[in-house]
Amino acid sequence: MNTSEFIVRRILLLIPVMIGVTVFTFAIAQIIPADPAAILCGERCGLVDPVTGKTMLELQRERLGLDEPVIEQFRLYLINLAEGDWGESTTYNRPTSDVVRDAAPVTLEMALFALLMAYPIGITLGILSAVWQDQVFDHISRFLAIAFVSLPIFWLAMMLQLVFGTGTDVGGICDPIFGTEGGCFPIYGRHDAALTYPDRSSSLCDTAITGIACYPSWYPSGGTGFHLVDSWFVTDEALDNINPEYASNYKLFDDTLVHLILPSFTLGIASAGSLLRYMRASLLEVMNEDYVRTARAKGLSESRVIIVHACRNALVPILTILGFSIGGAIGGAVLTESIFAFYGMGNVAVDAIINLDYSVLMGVTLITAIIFLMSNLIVDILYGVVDPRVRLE
Amino acid sequence: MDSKLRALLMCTLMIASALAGCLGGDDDGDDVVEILGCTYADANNYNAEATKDDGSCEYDPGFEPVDGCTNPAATNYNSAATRDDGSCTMPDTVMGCMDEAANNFNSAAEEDDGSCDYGMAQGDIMAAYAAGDMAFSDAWYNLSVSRKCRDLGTNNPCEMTQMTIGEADTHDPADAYDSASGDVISNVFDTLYRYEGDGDGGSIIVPRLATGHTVSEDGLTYTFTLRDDVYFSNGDHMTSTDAVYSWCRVIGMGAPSSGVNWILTQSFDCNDADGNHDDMGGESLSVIDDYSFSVTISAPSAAFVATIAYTVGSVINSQLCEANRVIETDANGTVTSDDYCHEWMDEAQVGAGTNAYMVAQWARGTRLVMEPNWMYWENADFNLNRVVVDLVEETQTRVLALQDGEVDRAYIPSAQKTEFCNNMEDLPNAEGKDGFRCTYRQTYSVVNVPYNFAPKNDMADGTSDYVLNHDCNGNGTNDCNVLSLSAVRQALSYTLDYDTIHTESYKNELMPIYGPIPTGFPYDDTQYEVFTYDLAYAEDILDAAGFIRQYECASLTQTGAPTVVAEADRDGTECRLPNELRILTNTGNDQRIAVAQLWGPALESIGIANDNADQPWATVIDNYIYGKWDLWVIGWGPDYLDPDNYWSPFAGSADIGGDAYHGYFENDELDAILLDARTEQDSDARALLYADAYDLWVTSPTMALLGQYAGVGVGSDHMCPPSYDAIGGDYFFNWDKLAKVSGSYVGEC
Repeated sequence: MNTSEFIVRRILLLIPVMIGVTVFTFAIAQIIPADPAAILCGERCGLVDPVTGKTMLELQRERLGLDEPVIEQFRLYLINLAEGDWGESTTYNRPTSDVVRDAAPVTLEMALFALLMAYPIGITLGILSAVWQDQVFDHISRFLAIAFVSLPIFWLAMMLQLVFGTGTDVGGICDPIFGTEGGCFPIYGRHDAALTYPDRSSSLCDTAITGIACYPSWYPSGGTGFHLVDSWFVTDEALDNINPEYASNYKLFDDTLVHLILPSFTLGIASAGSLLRYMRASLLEVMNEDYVRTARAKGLSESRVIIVHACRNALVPILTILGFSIGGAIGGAVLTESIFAFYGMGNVAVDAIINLDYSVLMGVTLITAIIFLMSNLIVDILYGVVDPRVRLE
Repeated sequence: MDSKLRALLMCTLMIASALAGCLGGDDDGDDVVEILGCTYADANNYNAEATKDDGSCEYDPGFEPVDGCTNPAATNYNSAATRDDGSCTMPDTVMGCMDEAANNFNSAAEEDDGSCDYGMAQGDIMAAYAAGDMAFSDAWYNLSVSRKCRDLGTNNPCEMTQMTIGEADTHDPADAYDSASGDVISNVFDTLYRYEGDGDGGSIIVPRLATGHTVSEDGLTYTFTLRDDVYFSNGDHMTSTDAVYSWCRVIGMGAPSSGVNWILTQSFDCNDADGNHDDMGGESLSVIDDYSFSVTISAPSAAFVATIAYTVGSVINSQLCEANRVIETDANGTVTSDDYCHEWMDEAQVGAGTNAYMVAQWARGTRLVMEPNWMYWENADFNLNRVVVDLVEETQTRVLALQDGEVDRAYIPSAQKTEFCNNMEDLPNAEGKDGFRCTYRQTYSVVNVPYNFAPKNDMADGTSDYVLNHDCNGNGTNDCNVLSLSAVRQALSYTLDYDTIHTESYKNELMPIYGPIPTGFPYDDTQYEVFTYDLAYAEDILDAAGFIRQYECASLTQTGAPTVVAEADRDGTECRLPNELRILTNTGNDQRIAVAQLWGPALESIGIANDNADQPWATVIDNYIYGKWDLWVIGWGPDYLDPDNYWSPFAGSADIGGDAYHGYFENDELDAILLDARTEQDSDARALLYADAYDLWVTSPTMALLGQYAGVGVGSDHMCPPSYDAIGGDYFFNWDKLAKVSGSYVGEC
């Protein structure tokens, strides 16, 4: 089996997994002893519509299709799903596919940026810790690793907001050190309040209203939702129409980046702690292998022995963690998104659970499952890259 | 040492003297040679090498220079001079426009001479646009130049950022029933009338798009006259056709998500008889001319104007709606679906409304940006050129952002108000900490406990059925529930420790309320205090009604069938009612739970067994829907500014469109009074009817009324709010923000 066959096979495997996830989620939604229609109309459920003579509850049940038998509901859901119709969110009153489309890039961007921060920190400290085993640096690193993993996300996030995101009168430390005003980093949101970001929700991107298309014709209409990427492709005409303070690709990118730092650090720090420990342990194990001894015997410098020979092999278990890290980051994003006001999948999922919005709940579950599977597929492919012994052929 | 020092000093002096001789300039001028000639470049015989003018310049006839002062700012400015002769005398101060925001700002000006130009007057622009002398784009630009906020400061004084926790469901007024949607809609769309604060904590109804109305003698036909100077944000002129279209659209669309259409459908129908959705108006509504229309309602209603002041009565742009309406038909041409332009209206697109702002961005779940509708009809400039509403669920983030000045306004829950206010334990005397304003004020949200006259429960056989535990007919069989008896409900109303509930359970954020109408609402003076915390009196009422202590409390269940203790064996600890009363409260609402925990023991002390355990909201709603509750601690907020919006749902039966909690109460006499009050146009007569209704209601209460919310509003003291109104929208046009210059705020609210 060659690589492409392997990838196709894994992607095809997604189908039964997706069906399984769908059945499972739908079943759980049915088990919950509560009525989503009742949640929607609340204490007004008893009011009678003077035209139809039906109560608000009855009207809502009809609208949601809850008056149909469960099997019929599921059959309709699957048929619609196959046709690309993910259903209508009762929480947001818009198509679930739109809700998920908007939320997924927010979480993914933050999670990927968090891993981008976590991996260099974790791996570098892990390597140095292993190299200087049982020395002061090693002790400090191991303490940090425990601290990183143990710190509650909500506490860390709030401390970061307070210390790095506020002025001295509130408790921040940045202003006297860096000459900033109101802290080094914004404490919430994806963009500065003074900026109307040119995304699909901005009227300045509406050609019918302003005559402006915010992205080039070949680019997805309204952007991808990954603002670090989108900011580079915004058209000059769109930039002419936003706050002059942000009227360049660089400044737009900068604004997105600055807003990502605290949440991503919060989200990534636990992964960094784990990676540090894994990397240290893995490297220490590898350093005792025969091929490392051989490399040293050949007269190679210690740095070359560690970086070229030992680290590459030590990275294999680290790759295994990558797949789980992405999933973990998405899971951990719930608290981070809430505190930093990022409206990603975590927040959407929580809202969906609270409001018994089955459609969104299943949409988020499906997307999360796909991300998990895809990230593990990538990890499997990367195995082959890192370790020549694990070729697919 | 001394000799060495002296030698060094001498050497230094010698070197310095020599260098002074070398470097010194020759300033006697003996060697300078002046070249005489014509030094003016515009002369025919200009000599570029000349260093001193000798008066020999020659010019063509008619082009001779006029010497004088050529600087217009000089006091001796000579407008005829073509060549400056250096004679200018400058005034002590430079005059000019000193307002940086003005179109002709002069940065060199030292004194404002009143010459600042702020563009054309709003009235002139609108008059030119109305006459067709100015294109929309020009009018829009000129209005923006003329009406924009011009304050300058380091705190973006023309921009307001606020943090909230609830997002609008939709921006379409025809299907919006939540307060977050209402806040957006009330800034984008206008109604014929709207609610505003009366400056004294109460609310009034004021005209907006309407200039007035008349009512026919039979109270059925309302004729409205509209302003003739109102334009939508795309420049379309608003007429009565838009108003009729908007109301009929609400009824035709039927508010599928929210059900808010009932506010209009209770009064009139649009009689879309042929189903083609084109005959907006039908028999009920008639366009009389561009600025007047009439509506005939199904029954006289004193509340009608109040109902159309709710956002569901907003006027939208009928032309744009029609242009964006999606109607699907089958092969026979029958309409199979009609979105009534909801998808387009959902985001309140440009041109949709006539009010002061437009939605510039709606990043759902994250941020809403509003910018001025420069065509807005009210004759005043904008204080805010941009309003940003950020959705932030996390309380601590909002607290930090408000403290840090990152936002101007934020929703702060009670527990965190101490971060901004002093004396929170001594309400209503809370005071703002430095930089913040804390204002104690009432709302119209009421905390109430409806009584279920016909509760149900899961029976032993697995079915759900009414709990019949009393013989109301006297025929020997249980045919009703004890809660259907006035005496029992009256007694229950005396078992609530209202003062403790206000001060402890709600930490002084609940004010007394004596009847269905909250303080500040019209006709609130028709009620007086009747129910107090008096357990002994409650027991007397129960005794008198025959509910003596006779049941073994341990035997009580929610469905009844109690064990009666033999009279000789009774020791005064027995229970009075034949079943355990379920007090419904939802998990997470600590205040309601505190009420139940306070009430439970009080009820037990007089022999009423109860279950006051809280339950998840979903379960609470489920129990409510299926009638499986006896007493429910819940809240109610009004829809529109009329007492009928409290009396009918709280005390009217389902027959008159009341009984909001499905408590199955029925009181024909009270219903008749409430119906009369609903239709009575004379305010004095109406007041008497509500007084009569109250006197009757207290003898047979349908619920206990615990109080009326009265919280502390927290705000930054550089934000200047309009007159407080507990029911209307948050009108951004009436807000102002003080500019921060050189570290301090300019002016005061």
